[in-house]
Amino acid sequence: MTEEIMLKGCLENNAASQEALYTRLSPKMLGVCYRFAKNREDAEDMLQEGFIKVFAQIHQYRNEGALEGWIRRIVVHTCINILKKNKKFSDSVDISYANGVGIREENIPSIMQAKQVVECIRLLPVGYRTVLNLYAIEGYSHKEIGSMLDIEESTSRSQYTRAKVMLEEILVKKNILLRPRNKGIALTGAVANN
Amino acid sequence: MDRNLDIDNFELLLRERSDEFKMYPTKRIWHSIYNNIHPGRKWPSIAMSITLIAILLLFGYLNTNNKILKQEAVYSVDFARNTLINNNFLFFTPPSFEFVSFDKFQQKHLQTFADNSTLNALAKNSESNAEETSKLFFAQNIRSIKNSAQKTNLNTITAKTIAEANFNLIGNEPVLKYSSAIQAGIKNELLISVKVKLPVLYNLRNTNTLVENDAIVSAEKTIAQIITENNQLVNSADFNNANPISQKAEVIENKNTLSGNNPLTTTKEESSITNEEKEWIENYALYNRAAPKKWAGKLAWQMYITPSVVYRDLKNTISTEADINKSVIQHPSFGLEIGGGILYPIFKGVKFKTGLQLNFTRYNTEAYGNSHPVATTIMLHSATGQLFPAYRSTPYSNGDGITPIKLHNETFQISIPIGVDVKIAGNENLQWNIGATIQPSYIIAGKSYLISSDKRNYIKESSMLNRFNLDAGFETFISYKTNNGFIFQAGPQFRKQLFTTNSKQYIIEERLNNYGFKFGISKLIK
Repeated sequence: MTEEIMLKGCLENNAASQEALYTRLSPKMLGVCYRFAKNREDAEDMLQEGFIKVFAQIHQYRNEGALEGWIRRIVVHTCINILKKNKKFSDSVDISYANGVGIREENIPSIMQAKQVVECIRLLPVGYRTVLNLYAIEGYSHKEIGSMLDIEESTSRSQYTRAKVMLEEILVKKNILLRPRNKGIALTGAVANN
Repeated sequence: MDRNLDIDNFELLLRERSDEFKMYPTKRIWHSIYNNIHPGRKWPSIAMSITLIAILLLFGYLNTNNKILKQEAVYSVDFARNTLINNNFLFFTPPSFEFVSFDKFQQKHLQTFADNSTLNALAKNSESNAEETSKLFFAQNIRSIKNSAQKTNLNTITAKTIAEANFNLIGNEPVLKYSSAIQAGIKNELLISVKVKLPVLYNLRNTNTLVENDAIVSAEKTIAQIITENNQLVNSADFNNANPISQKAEVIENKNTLSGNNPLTTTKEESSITNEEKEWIENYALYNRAAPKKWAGKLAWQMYITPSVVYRDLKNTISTEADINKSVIQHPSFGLEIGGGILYPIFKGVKFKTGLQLNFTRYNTEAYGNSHPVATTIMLHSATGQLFPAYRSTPYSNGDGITPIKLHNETFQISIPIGVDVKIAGNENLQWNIGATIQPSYIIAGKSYLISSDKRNYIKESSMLNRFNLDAGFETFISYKTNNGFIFQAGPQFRKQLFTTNSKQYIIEERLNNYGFKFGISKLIK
């Protein structure tokens, strides 16, 4: 079923088209939710709420951009809204946590998988993780993030900077990245070969 | 080979890797979404369920609609019997009765009273109510006796003829069970159109001839006086107690067993009753009434069997990061519950139940057997609540190994279910009920395979099984009462284990869920 047919069916509230769209996009969207969520169950709840909004608001889609991108934005906003109910994103996290992460100097080959990166992101405190997800992966600006999370733009910047440092340390510790040298960082050999 | 990556590309790296990441949601999510965006489409399944239940109830009702006739017949048997006894000329014992359906009865008596246009018309009207039918047939019987007496030799009109005319009804319980319904039944002159199958009639007076003559006269008088006399009886009787007249009848019956197999041919000496004898009978009946048992007619025994499918929930008590249920490959297996107990009504539509039951539970773990044991650990809580690794060796591994093997996690339990059944809908014969029990359980034996702290191995550690546990049972069922008093029931049952299977020392809690289908049989204890 093409995207066009699926979209048309969804606009007509056709269950088969809705299921087809869900089946096609839900794995990726659940991956998005999982980066924001505390655990898989929370991620599935976010996904569920997100897709309910998608199907409820599908008539607002204007064909101005990819349908997947439009759905992704709704899912991300749903995640943020759910997180906002439980967490203040202005809370800062002690950077010493990141500093405390041990760094392996030696180059130990490791298979880098998407899941490992995502799991490392999920090791970050929720505030850092959310800002990093929104800025680095979802492509929102700090101004937009500030607006979404009800925090200052500068807070978003500082949180992102700290999150990035912390994530680098974690990736290095997990042998996913080599220790940054000069201005760059290096992936381990196995990753580079991917 | 290393690849230097500019720091500015860090976001790109994350984005690429993150976008590759996919997770597959469970089916439940789509069902939830579907139900949310199509709320109206839930109704077909609900409507189908309601329709199915309605069909079952209707089917049961149509198959048990002679119940009212049956009940009223009991009242009428006693009613007529009392009348005859009051007139001191005969009574009958109901050695066996045959229930005749209303339709069959009508067919039979339409032949007998073919010339009666009223009855014909009535019989053709399938929707006529039992009360009106009874009244009309009551009147018809009077005419029938009169006609018979006029048209035939009086000697051929026996007491049996009269009795059949009077007792064109049936009852498997000649003992009257008084209630407001009985009062209403008698006052409304209900005479149910069902047939006594060969009642044994006892002549309390003199010879056959006399009896027959007397019988006709007396019967007519009796019938004529029935309403008046019985209303007096009804008004004066204590309906909370047993009927003394019925008791008296039993005594009379005993005395008359001396008269031989054919009571209609008894001699004058044997069958006559003096006032002294009557007084003695009444006194005997009064002082020798059987003490009613409070539980009689209420308490019922029950046996049941429930095949089930056993699922388990695992929960890591110290970490919520990874779902332990997904770290192992385990499949549900079968379970079985066999039990017996008692049921006792405590309120209208509510029955208390308890008993004893045996449960077997099993679920399977997909593992691998190794040729030699490997060292591993399980994480346990110490007495002070701190965690410590306990070292074990095991030949079973999770995920990789030499020989695939299926590990059976089993328990054999003995439980005492205590709970209630509540009637939701239905009549006396066909009912829809729900029930709930709490079940203290003792684990007689079992096998338990614990997952190691690194989730790579399974350790057989049956000694960690909790000996005592608590389960909760929920069920809903349809019950059907047969003519011989057995009640069969069938319906789904859910049994939830409330406490963890293994010792609290073990960091992973396991709770069993049994989804079963219960079949049961019960019967009142008389």
